[in-house]
Amino acid sequence: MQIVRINDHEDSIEPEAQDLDPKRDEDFALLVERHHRELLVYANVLCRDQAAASDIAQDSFIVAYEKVHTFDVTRDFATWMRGIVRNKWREWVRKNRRYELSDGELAQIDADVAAWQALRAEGNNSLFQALEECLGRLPENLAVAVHSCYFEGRTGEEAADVLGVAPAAIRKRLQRARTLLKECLDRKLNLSPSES
Amino acid sequence: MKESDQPSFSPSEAFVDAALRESARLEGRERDDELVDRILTATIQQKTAGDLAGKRHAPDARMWWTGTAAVAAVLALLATLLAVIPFGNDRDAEEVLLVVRYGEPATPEVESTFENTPPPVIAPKPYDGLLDLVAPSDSLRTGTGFLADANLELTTVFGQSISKFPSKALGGNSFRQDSFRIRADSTTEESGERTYAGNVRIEYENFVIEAEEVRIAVALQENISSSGPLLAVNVRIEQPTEGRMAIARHLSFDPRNGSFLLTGLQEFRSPDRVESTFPADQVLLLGKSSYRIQSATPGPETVRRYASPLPENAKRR
Repeated sequence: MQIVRINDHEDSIEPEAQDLDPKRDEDFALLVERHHRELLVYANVLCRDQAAASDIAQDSFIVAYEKVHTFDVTRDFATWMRGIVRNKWREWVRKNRRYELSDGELAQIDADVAAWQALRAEGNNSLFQALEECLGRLPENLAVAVHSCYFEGRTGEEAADVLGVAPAAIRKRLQRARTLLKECLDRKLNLSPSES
Repeated sequence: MKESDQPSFSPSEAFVDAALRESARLEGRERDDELVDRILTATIQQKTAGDLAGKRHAPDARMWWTGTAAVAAVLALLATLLAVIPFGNDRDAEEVLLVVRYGEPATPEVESTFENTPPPVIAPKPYDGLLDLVAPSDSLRTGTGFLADANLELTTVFGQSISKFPSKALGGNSFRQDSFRIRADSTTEESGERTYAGNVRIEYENFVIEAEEVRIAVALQENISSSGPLLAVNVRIEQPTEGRMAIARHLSFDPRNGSFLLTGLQEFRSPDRVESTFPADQVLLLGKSSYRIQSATPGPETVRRYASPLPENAKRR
């Protein structure tokens, strides 16, 4: 039996996050729908490897499902899941001899993802919707660099060739764009949905 | 941007970087279908299949069999319930079972090579009355000729997981059952039709169909001669096993043989053929293992649908 929620619409009535009990299969499926993208981003920030991040996100949900009887329903599912993702990431770091992040770095990443998960659980825009809006507010030269490198899959050198600038300029523009996008996302986090 | 290009980011920059990558990867979609499917397959569906029960009871074979039998019994009961309980709009994946009963002994498994199947035909309309402004192929959408001679009864069953009916219950061989798994952004039901809209995805046999909108006849025991039981708009259909893909304006399902009719063809690819321009009246018949592209209008290849008062050369200008 496959119980899948496909898309969340603004006008659809979703159960509140706290009403969902992951011990019930239907609710677990909804929680997978609701959290998989943010957890994927979380895993991606931790390991900076798309394929590994996808595996970590998948394995984390499998572990969560197998250990769901240990989950305290009064706790936050998203927080519980981030804990599992962190443990899976640590396993991956050990296996692949990658570097660990400092506690401070981990805490900041965790806070970023947690904030978006909380906002999403309240029925607000997802991280990706907010990101799209923020992309639309970037200065054109930065937006073009982001589009070329992220959305058209070019390397910094290829983008520099296409845009007729030095590779260093592309790197600088991307860095500036990421900083502005982060500021924009943070502002959106602090604004009410209607203001954002 | 390739992963090897990544400089070492600060955590906040890394967060935006990951979000950008993720956003670009799914091209604005909110759902990673593949990941969600993998997770659900390895969790809920795995359990449903009895594997988890098996694992937990592995040490004792008798207990394993007892557990499996119990799970199977519960699942059978659940499937039966799901098949009869009407679901609300808050679920987006469901199965549709189309059962077609023939008024006379069934056409045997037609799937086929289309060699002996009469092509779908639009009745020619040579300058009679008002002229159609739509492409000729649109007439097919409403089933003109397509199912017109079929003396069929259609039963549609909706649910999240549906068991097929036992053949005895349907009267021997004079029937077909086709099960479609459908997902969509929204579902509405009106005037004997269920409409799935927005990113509709259908899995049926070896076909994967993506469409903007899909309409399915809901009415039970209805004579389906006037329209096909499943109509889709702005369609992309794929047959990964056959290496075929087609993009078309409309698609309808022929419940007599489990094949599809595509009109308003825009693109067709198969291992032996790639085409992206088609005359307006060409249709594609797509079966499980074969296909045929043909004109929907009988007679000469080019049939003019209107009388232009302009001379030929003036018209081209």
